Amino acid sequence: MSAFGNPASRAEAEEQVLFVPDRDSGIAQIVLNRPAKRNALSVPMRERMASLVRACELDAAIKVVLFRGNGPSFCSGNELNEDWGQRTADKRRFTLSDAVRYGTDMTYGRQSFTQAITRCSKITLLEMHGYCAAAAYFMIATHCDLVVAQEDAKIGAIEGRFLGPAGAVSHIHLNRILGVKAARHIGYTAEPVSGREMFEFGLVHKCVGAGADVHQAALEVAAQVAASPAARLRFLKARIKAAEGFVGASMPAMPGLLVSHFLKSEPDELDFWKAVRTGGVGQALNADKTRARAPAGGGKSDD
Amino acid sequence: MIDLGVSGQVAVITMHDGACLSAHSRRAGTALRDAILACGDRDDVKAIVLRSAQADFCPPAQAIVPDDDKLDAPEWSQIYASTVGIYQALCYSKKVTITAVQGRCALAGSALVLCSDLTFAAADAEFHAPFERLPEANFVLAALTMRLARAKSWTLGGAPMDARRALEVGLVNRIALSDVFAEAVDAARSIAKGPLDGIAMSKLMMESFLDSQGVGQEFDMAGFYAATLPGAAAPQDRA
Repeated sequence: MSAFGNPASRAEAEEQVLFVPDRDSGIAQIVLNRPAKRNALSVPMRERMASLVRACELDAAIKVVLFRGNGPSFCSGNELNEDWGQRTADKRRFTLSDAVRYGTDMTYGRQSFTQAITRCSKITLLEMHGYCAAAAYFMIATHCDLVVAQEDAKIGAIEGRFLGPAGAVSHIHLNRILGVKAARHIGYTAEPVSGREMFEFGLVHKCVGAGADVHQAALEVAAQVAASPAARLRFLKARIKAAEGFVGASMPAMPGLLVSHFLKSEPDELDFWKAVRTGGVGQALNADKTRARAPAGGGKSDD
Repeated sequence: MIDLGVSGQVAVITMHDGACLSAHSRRAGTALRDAILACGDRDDVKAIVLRSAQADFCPPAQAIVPDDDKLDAPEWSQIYASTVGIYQALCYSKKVTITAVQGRCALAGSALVLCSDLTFAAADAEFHAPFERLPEANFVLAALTMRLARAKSWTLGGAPMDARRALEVGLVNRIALSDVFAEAVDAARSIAKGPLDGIAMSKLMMESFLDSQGVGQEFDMAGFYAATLPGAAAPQDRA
C-alpha cells in the first residue's frame, strides 16, 4: 500500500489531532491542534481523523462526535506545503495516475475523512470559529449533521482565488445545503461568508455572537442531542442517510480534487504560493485579498 | 372524522382529529385518503384546502386508538404508506393543495404540510419534525423544501419552528394576517381561476420533478423505516 505523508508529518499527526472521548456524556471530541498553521490538515492528520471517526463508530457509548479546532481558527483547509509524495521519486512530473491514486484514496479509501464523517452512524457536530476554509468548508462542514458557528467566522471556498472554484461550485452537498445560486456565488467569488450569513443560508444550525463562548454553545447542543436514546439517534441518522442518498448528497467531491492538482498558476498569480511558503495559509489568505480584488489583468491595458 | 365540501372549484377537507392520523387510525386514515383521492378525480375541483377544526392543526401526541380502529402492517401500508396512501395521494394530487395551519403542527400534520403544494400559517403555528415517530413522513421533501442542513437541524435539534422561522426557511408560504383558513381559501380560489388542464399539466410535470429528486424513493422506504422504528410505536407492533 502506498504511504502518504512524510516521516515528520506522520510523527506529528497524533499531537495535531487530539481525541477526547467522554463516555459518560456520550460526546467524543476530535480536536485539530495545529494552531500556528490555523489547523491546516496534513495528509496524516486527515488519515488520523478518519481513524478516530471509525473508533467512535465502534464505541457504543459515544453518541455525538464533535469536531473543533484549537487556536484562532477551526481550520484553513488542507496543508499546501507538505511534501507527502505527490509523485513517486522516479517520475519527473506529476502524472494523472498519481492524481487518481491520491484522489481515489482521498475520496473513497483510507484517506477519506469526508466519507468517514458522512457514513458515521453517530451524530456529527462541528464547532466553527475563525477560518473554516477550503477543505474544512466543503469536506467537513457540509458533511457534519449540525454546525455551531461564531457569527464572525470566515467560511468558504477561499481557495478558489488560486485553485479555481471547480470543487466548491459543483459539490453536491453545497448545492443541496445552500441552494445552487448561493453555492455558485460563494464558489466563483471566493469571498469568505460569515457565520451569521451561513445561518441564513442554512448551513449553520446555531449561531452565537462574536464574543460568545462557541465551545460552550457547541457542548450544549452536543449534550442536548446525546441526551436522546441511542436507538432514536441511530434511527434518525439512518433516515437522514437514506434521504441524502436519494438527493445525491452521498457523492464525494473527487473531480474537484483532481482538477486542483493539475492547475497551473500564471506568473502573476504566484504571490499566493510565495505567501503560503513564508507565512502559512492564514497570512496568504489575508495577503491575497488585495490581488483578488484588483482589476483583471492587473490593470494592464492593450493600448 | 373528515368533512369534505366543494364550492367555487375549491374543495375544503376538514380534519377533526389529527392525533388519530398520527396514531395510524384506520377510520381517520381511510376517510382522509378517500377524500383526497375523490377530490383528485373531480373536474369541478381545481384546488384543495386542508385544515383542522381544532385549535391545533395536529398536536405532538399520538391519540389512543381503540382496538377496532388499529391497523395491521398491510393495512397501514395501504392507507398511509402506499402509492394510494394519504401522503402520496396528497403529494401527487392532480389538484393544487394548500394546508392551512394553526397552533401546533406535528407528526401527521407536519407530514401533510411537507406533501402539500402550499402552506399558509397562523401567527401561532409551530412546526415539529415528524420523522422520529412517523415512518411515512418524507425527509426528502423536507430537504427540498428547506434545504438539506436545515432539514437535518429540524430533525435532530428537537425544537419546533415557529411560524416566522418556518416562513424564513421556506416551509411556509405566508403567515396569515387574521384568519388563516379564509386566506387559504382566497388563494385557492385565485388559483382555481386557471384552466383545469393547465393545472393538471403543471401537477403532472411537478410529479416528474419530485421523482427525479428522490421523493418517490423516500416514500418507497416507509416500510423499511417502520420495521426499524425504535420502541413499540412501529405500525407492525400494533397489529
